[in-house]
Amino acid sequence: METIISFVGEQFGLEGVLALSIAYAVCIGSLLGFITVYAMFAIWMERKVAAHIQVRYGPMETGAWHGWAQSVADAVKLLFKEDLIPRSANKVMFLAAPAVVFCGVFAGFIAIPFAAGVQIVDLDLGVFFIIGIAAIEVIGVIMAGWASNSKYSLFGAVREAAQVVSYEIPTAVALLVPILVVGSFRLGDFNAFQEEHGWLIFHNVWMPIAALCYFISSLAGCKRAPFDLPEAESELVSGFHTEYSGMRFSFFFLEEYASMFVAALLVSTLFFGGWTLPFLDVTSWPYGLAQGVGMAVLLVKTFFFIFVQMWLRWTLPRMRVDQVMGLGYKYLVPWGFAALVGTAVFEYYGWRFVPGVF
Amino acid sequence: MYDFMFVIFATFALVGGLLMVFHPSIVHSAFALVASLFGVAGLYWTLGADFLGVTQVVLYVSGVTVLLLFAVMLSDKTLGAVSILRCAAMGLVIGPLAMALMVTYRAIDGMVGTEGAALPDPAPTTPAIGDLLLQPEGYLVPFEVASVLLLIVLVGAVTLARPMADRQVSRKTIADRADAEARGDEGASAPQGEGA
Repeated sequence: METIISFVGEQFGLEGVLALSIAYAVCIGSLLGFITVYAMFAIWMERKVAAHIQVRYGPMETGAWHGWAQSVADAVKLLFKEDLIPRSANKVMFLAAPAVVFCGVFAGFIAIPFAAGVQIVDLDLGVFFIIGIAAIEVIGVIMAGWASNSKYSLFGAVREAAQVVSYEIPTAVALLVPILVVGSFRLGDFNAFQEEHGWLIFHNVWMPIAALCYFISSLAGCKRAPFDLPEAESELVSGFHTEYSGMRFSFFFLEEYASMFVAALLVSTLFFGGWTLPFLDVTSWPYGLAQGVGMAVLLVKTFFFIFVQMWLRWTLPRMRVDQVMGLGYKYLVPWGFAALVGTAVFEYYGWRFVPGVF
Repeated sequence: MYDFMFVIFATFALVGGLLMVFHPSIVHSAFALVASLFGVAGLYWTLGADFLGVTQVVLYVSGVTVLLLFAVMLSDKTLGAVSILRCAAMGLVIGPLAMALMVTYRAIDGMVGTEGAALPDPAPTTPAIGDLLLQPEGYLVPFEVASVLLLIVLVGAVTLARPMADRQVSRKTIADRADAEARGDEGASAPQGEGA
């Protein structure tokens, strides 16, 4: 953001509110573009992964190579579809809900670093802000479920609210573990720390536990299978977005894939080194090159975790409601706290793997 | 710019609050409360309390009000009530975006010349809060007392939430009953029963 403002200032002699508006426009435009293109790619990827797990090909016809244009065609179809509003729905809430759902995740993207310096703002509260503002999504889902005035939607919304609110606890606790080690919420600091000390997942014995806890609860937070109870197709048609069609439906889809991206990116940044590689030191490289390599490394890691999310979705059966709650409260929360306390003790005494030895 | 953001967030807080009080439908009131709390979170951020602002969003906007909405929605009998709640709905759309605007703006403050010397430094407040809360010469004791109080409230809530008959029987029976319930209906009571 600073870079854009100073660039606009130097090149065109603009400053003040005008430069600021241009910088905002550029940032919002590029983020929206990135999310849309990424979501289309991820949906295609999801269909291919699903197909190959089920020993079939998936989309092969649209576009020349392995149906790459399938998502583009779908997006065009969704754009032209009629925007249906049920007669008994609460109109204002019904119309606003998809936007509310999307805004939360979108606002979180401003704090995401893609490479050293490639981010809209290096927020001091980075992780906390992303997690916090993304939670607005629940409100949107409840709005959608309630305003649709359909029993499937309402059930889906209630399930979603219960699930997401419950899983916010293990998410937060598991995230506190790397935060405790690094001593900062700022996402840039995590990368700097791991560049110097190696990946946090290998930092001490508790880290893999914390990473696993976070990954599982982020799956639940994204409503991905095996936690897709809010939109369980065989029971609830498609849960809280049963009544939606066209563009408004695609907003829910966009939100789901955007939050998958955020979750995968947080896993790779907080536990798996972010844009750093253990055997490659790019800090001394020229400005653009280091950023490009860093971004590529980070995106490869992120897409690996998105692939794991898809892999789990197409491998595991859906859990029952009480099993979901039991997993969250009986396993993830205690293990998360164990990792937190354990890390605190280990950090205090400077232990890493075996207490007292190293 | 700060004035502008202040006006946006203050409008949220006030309009949301007024709607919450005066709107006939209770579900709409709850949504208006969300918008109002969001406005307050934004005001915190405008004043330089970034940690407090995000905490407000996490705890109140997405935690407490979700549970509130839950309760209100399931007890509401006038499900299809007519609404004029465009403002609160719009508020929820603009809220996160305005927050993002504010956050980025604070971070780049100084790049563009702004007036308003009375505003506090946009320095992060998290370390200061941590120091105050966890150092013995700070507020460590009140902080711990508050935690214990919250724990007591939690245990009390679980006790109250369980039906009177359940308090007599053994834990095993309760767990079994919770399982049976979860299989039968939505299972909202399962975590409470098991958490005890």
